[in-house]
Amino acid sequence: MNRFIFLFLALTGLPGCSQPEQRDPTAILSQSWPQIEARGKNQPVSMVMWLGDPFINDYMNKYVRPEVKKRYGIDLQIGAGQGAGLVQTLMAEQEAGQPSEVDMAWINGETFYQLRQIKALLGPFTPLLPNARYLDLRNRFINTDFQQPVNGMECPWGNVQLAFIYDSRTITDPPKSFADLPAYIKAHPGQFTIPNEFTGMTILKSWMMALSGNPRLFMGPFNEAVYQKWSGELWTQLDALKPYFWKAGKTFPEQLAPLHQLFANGEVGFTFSNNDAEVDNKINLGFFPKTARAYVPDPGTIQNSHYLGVIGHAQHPEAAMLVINFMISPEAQLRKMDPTVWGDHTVLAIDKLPAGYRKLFRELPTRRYAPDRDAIQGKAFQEPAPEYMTRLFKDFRTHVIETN
Amino acid sequence: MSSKQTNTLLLTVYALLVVGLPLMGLGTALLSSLGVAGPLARGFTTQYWQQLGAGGGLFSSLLYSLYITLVSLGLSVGIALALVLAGGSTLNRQPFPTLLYVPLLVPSLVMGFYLFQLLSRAGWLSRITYQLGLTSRIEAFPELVQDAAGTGIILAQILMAFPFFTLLFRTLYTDARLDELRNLTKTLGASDRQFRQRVAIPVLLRRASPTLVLFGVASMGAYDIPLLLGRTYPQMVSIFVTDRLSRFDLQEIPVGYGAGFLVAVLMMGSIGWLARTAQNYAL
Repeated sequence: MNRFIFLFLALTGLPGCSQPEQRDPTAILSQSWPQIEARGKNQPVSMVMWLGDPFINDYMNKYVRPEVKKRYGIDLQIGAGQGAGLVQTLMAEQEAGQPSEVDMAWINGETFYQLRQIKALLGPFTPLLPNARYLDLRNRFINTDFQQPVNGMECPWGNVQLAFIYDSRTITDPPKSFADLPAYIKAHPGQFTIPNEFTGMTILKSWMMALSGNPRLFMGPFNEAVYQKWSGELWTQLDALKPYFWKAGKTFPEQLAPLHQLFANGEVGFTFSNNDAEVDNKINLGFFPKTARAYVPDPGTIQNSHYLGVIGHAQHPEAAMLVINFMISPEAQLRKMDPTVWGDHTVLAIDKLPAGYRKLFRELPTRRYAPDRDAIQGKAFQEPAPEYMTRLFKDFRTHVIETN
Repeated sequence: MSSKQTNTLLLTVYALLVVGLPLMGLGTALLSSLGVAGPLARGFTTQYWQQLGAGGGLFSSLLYSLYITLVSLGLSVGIALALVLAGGSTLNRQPFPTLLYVPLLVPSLVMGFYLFQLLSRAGWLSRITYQLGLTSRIEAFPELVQDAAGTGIILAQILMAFPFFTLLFRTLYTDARLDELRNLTKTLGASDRQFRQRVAIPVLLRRASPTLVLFGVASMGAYDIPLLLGRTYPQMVSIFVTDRLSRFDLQEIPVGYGAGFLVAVLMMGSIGWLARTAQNYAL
C-alpha cells in the first residue's frame, strides 16, 4: 500500500517541494558586473530562438556555444521557440507560479510587446553589459522596437530590412516599386503570393505605408483612423489582385519556409526575407539559384532590429547576461555580419569601436547578391506600433483569405 | 489496508489521471474564454464567445473536418474491405502482411512532406509529366495539394489508415470464422456477393465500429497533415484552434480557448454517443 501512497504523493505533491525558488528581479539588476560575472559563471543557460536557418543555427552552435563555454564555463542550451508559442509558455509558467525553464530568448517587435503586456521580462538589463557601450543606440531603427522605446528591456542583436527576392534568370523586369506591383502581378498571374505570417505582415505594412505616400503617418501610437483609411485602400487593391495571385489567391503559404521552397522550385517568381542579406545566405547554402537577387522596392520597406531578452523568472539570469554580453561583442557581431556566416547587420556603432575593429568591419566581404546596405538605408521605414501588425494579421484573414 | 481500500485508492488515482486532469484542462480553457483565468483576465465577459460566434470560421472548420473525416474514413474502410474480401488468401501470403505495416511506421508529418513533394505543382509527379510532354507548363498539372476538395489531406489520411484497417479486418475475419459462415451460406444457396454484402461486411463493420469511431475522432483532430497539405481557409479544427492560440494579438488567445473547449466537448459528446450506438450493434 505504501507504494501507492508514494506514487500518489509523487504525482501530486512532491514536484512542488522540489521547485526552485523565485528570485527578485530588482535584486538581480542591482548587482555590479563583477558580481554578475561571479554568479553567472559555470551555469547552464537555456535560450529559445527561431531555428529555421542552418547558417544561424551553425553560428549559434558552432561559434557562440563553444565560446561562452570557453570564456565562462556556461553550458548554453538552445531550443526552438519564438513569438506566440514563447509567450504562451511563459504565461503558463507564470500561472503555475514557477521559475521559467527559459533564461533568454531571441525576440522582437510583437513578442517584445506581448512579453511586456504579461510582464515576463527581467527589466532594464542592457546598461549593465560592458559591451553595451558599443551599441548604436542613437539609431532610431535600433533604439525603438515597433514604436516602443527599448529602454534596456531587451538588448539589440541584429538589424535587418525587408527585401523582395526574385530569380534574375526568369524575371528580367521585377516591379521597381509598390506602385508598379499591381500591374506586374496582373501581367504575371500565379507568380506572387503573401505568406500569412510575420514576414507577410511586414510586406503588408510596407505596402500600406507606401500606399499612404507618407510613412510618417504611422509613427507614434496606433491611430485607428489612419489604419482604417490605408488598410481599406490595401484591401481594395489586394481584392482586385487576388485572382492573379499564386493559386488564384485561394490559399496562402502559412510559413515563409514553404514559400522559399515554392520559389526554389520555380512555382512562384518571388519570395521575401526580413533579412536583406538572406539571399546570399540561401545561395551559399545552395537552396536558391545563383541567379537569385534581392532588392528593396520604392519608396521603401520596413527596417527593424531583433533583440535578446532575459526572462523575468529565469533561473540563471546572470549567466544569460554574460551570454548576451558576448553576443554583442565586436568579435561576435563581426562574425555574424559576414555573409558567408549569417549576414546579419550589426547593431554596433562602427565609430564607437576600437580602431582595429572599425577596419575589420569595413573590410568584411561584401554581399554579392543582396542590395548594398548604404544604398537601401534611404528606403527604410520605421516599424509602426504593434497594433498595426495584429490588426493586419486579423483583417488579412477576414478581408482576403476568407473571402474565397 | 484492506483490498477494498486499496481498490478505492487506485480508482481515485486512475480517475484523477484519466478524468480529473483533462477536466481541469477543460475547466481552465472555459474560465480563460470567459475572462476569469489567465494573466490577461479582466473579469467575467462573454466578448470572446461573441467573437467566436461572429466569425463563422469555427462552423466552417467543423464542417470541413467532418467532410475530410467521413470521406477519408469511408474510402479507407472501402479499400480495406475490398482487400480482405477480394484478396483472400493472397493477402495472407508473405510479403503482403508485412508490407501493410510499412505505412503504419511512417510519422504523419513525414507522410505530409512526402505527399507535398510528390503532388505539388512543382513536385516530382509534375516534373515527370512535364518531361514526358504530358503537361506544357506548371499550371497544367492539377492541384492535388492545398486544393479546395482537400485531396492531399484525404489521400494522406487514406494511406495511413487503410493498412491498419486491412490488418484489423483480416484479424476480425478470422476471429468471426467468416470462412465457415461463407460455406454455410453457400450450402443455403447464397452467392459470394450475397455472402459479402449480407454477412461479411456487416459483421466486420459492427465488430470494428469502436475502432472506426476512435480513428474518425483522431482524423478529425489531425494537425500535421492538414497544416502541410491544407488551405488557409477553410481550416481543419485543430489548425483553427492552434491558429487562434498563436496569433500576434494576445486578446485572441481566450477566443482560441473557447474554440478548443467547444471542440473538445463536441468530440467527447460524439464519442459517447457513437460508442453507445456502436455497442448496441456490436456482435
